[in-house]
Amino acid sequence: MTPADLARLEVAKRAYRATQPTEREVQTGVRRARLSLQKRKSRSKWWMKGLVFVVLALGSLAYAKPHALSDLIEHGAGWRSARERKGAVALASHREPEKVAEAPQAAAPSPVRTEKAPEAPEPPKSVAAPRKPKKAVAAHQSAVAPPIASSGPSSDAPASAEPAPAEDPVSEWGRVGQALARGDEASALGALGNLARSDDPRTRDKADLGRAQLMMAHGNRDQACALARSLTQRRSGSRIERQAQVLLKDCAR
Amino acid sequence: MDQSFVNTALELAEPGQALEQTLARGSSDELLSLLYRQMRSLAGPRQDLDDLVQAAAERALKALERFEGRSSLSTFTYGIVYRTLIDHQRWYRRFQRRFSLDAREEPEDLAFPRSSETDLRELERARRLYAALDLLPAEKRAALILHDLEGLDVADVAAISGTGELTVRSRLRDAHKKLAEILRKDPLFDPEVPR
Repeated sequence: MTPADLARLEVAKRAYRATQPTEREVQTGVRRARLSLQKRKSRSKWWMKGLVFVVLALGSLAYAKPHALSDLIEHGAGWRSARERKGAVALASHREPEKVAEAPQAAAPSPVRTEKAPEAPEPPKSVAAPRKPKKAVAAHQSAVAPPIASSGPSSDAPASAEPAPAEDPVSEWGRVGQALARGDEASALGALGNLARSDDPRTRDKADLGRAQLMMAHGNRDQACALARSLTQRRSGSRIERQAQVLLKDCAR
Repeated sequence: MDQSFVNTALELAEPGQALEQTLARGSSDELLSLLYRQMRSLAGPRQDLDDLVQAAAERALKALERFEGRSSLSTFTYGIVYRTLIDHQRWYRRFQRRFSLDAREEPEDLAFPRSSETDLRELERARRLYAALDLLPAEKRAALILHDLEGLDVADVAAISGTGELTVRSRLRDAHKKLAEILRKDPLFDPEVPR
């Protein structure tokens, strides 16, 4: 550095020293630093760290797998609703023995029920149809297929366990159950006729079996026997075939 | 202030003295005061000075347990202040690459004592000096401030910056050269100009 540069540096040093902080400024800065350090200590609590960890974990999960959180929430909601459904089913199953006592009185006006009463516990469920339309779906399925019921209470499970194929068949089955509960066999036959035209072969077979049973109960043996015969030839399933064969035995008499 | 505050800080502890004796003589306020003065000298009067002092104080309070008394307490704390400032400047450079902010405002007038016309000229010179120092790289700026403006010797500067004496001398040479170029262009630093 030249002498002139050194002189300039001395001028700079003088200016630097003249603008050093005063004691008051230093103490103000110290007070601010002390307050900041105290605030920082009080904030570092364990629950804050836990909260930060949870937020970071959820954020990372949402970033890495955006659908994981929504699936988790749906699963949790589905678990809760499944629990509620189980409770409702358990409650309904407790109420059914009460309705069994009501069944003989309600079953009297309906020839279908009279026919079915000695075979199966289904009529109580048919009585229950107006009160519980959803139950009537399963109830009707077992009412028009008594061999399923005759194999025991456990047979109700398959009938009711069968998933409703589509929205239209479910409502048709409901109409069948309601018609039977009202004693309106014509409407029941009509609804069964609609179901017999369904795209689902199993629905068609069950509807035909129901029609055959209703016709037999009405005394229309020829048509009932023809339907039962066709069912035995369709390979529609062991249970439906068995029930069709039971009908055929009546045809032989 | 007649004396450089570094001399005042050196009175707090002497080399070889145990930490307990050092701390017994100086309270936490004295430590904070030392850190404030040191950060103020290295960083200059800036708006985030309080944040820098707080960051340095946190580091110092954690690092005090490792202080073995091999150097003076002021050298120890100066090293913490230096590293805090360098880390902050590195972070700020990375931050500026990603985000664009308005130009930093100039230091407030109240940051400098002002009482007479002479003081006004010195105030202006100090402002221009800090502006010139901001143009230097961080390590060279720190070396120049510590050696030329604070009066520390090369060995202390090397201990503070964590480098060798040769590196410090090299940095000083480069800093002098660049500062001289800047000051030559500023008439306020002309030695012929009255104080």
